[in-house]
Amino acid sequence: MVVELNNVVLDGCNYGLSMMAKSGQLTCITGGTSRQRSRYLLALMGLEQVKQGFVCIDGEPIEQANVQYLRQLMAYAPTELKAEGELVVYEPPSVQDVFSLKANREVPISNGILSEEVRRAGGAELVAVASLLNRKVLVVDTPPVASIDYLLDQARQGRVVIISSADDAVVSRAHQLLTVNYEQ
Amino acid sequence: MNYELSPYGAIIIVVLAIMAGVVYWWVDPNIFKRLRKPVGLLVLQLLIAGGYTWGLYQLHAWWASLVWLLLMTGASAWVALVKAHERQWQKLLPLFVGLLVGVSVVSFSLLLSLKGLPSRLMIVVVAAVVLHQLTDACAASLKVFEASLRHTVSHRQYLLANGATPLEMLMPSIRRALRATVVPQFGTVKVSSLVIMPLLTGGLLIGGVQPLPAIAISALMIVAVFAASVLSTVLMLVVHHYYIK
Repeated sequence: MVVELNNVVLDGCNYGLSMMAKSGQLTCITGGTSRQRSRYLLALMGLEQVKQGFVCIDGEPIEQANVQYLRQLMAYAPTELKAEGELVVYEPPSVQDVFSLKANREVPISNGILSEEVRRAGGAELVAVASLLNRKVLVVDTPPVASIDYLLDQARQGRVVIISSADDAVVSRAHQLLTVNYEQ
Repeated sequence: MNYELSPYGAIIIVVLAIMAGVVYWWVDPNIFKRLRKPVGLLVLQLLIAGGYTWGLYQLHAWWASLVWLLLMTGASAWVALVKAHERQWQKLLPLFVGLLVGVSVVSFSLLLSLKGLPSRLMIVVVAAVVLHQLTDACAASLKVFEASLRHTVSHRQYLLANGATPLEMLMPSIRRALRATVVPQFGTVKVSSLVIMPLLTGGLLIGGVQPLPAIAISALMIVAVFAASVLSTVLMLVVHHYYIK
């Protein structure tokens, strides 16, 4: 499986970005600000407006008509789940919420499986949840250093693993690097 | 049962109100000044509503009741929009559709269950009671729904990215909006002897209804308002989803 960014220009950016992430590799988007890197990850899943260029999965461009289907090939772990602005009560989506989605109901899950996976992922619960969804593409925003071995292991199992990070300890372990310029 | 106002009783009440006003004017003149605006608005609303209802009773025509229903629903949608602190006028449409369908379905069902009432006229009264409750319910749910959408952008992206359908992605915000609709009603129902009975049951008793039917009608109204508020909120959210991008 191949995930491509073909000269993708995001809203508010001037320069295009291209990359080709393949199965078995860990690709890292680095440079720029954390917001810029996150936006490129979201663009991969059709969740960020692309001004120019296109995102392809196995040569098939992500469009309105197929985005729902193509997203089912991916799993996503954000840096953290938090509310925008100030809220008195915030209920982030729980692990149960994710696994009770129609697309994920067949995925086996239990407290034991989850806690074992979280331990293997270096304590990163969101990374463990995304991995347990057992999708071909794993997208992780700013993973902790402790989970880099786990992510490399996921790549070795034949997944396309795409992460974003500015941490040298993480960046140096990636098979492929993609650098975002600050001007972008 | 027909009633007429006794001028003596009315004069006594007006004199009592003036005396109460004088007490405030003497003890706390500032609060007395603040009374002028609400009293003015009360008189204006009574004149408009009273005049229109009097006209309806004189005309005794179905189209006049229908016009009244549309006008009241429009006004209620506007009030709900203001209460929800919304400035986007296009949100009037989902509110109007939700309120109109909710109030129409439930009012006609109520009229069917209250045999012997002149439906052309009573739709005015029954719809007014239901609309009053629905306006608050829709305003609260719209406010909570919009706030939830604003505050949970990354939350929704996370769900979408992990396989949620658009409806599944919106479900937490819909749940919060529905909760905002019904939770205040639980409070009202819990203290029904303080809120519902003095107004609704008391009104029915003054209107000449026997105590047991009055209680039964009140219970029916409470259930109808609950059903109408859920129906209106769901419809409002559906129209909001498809109409407002």
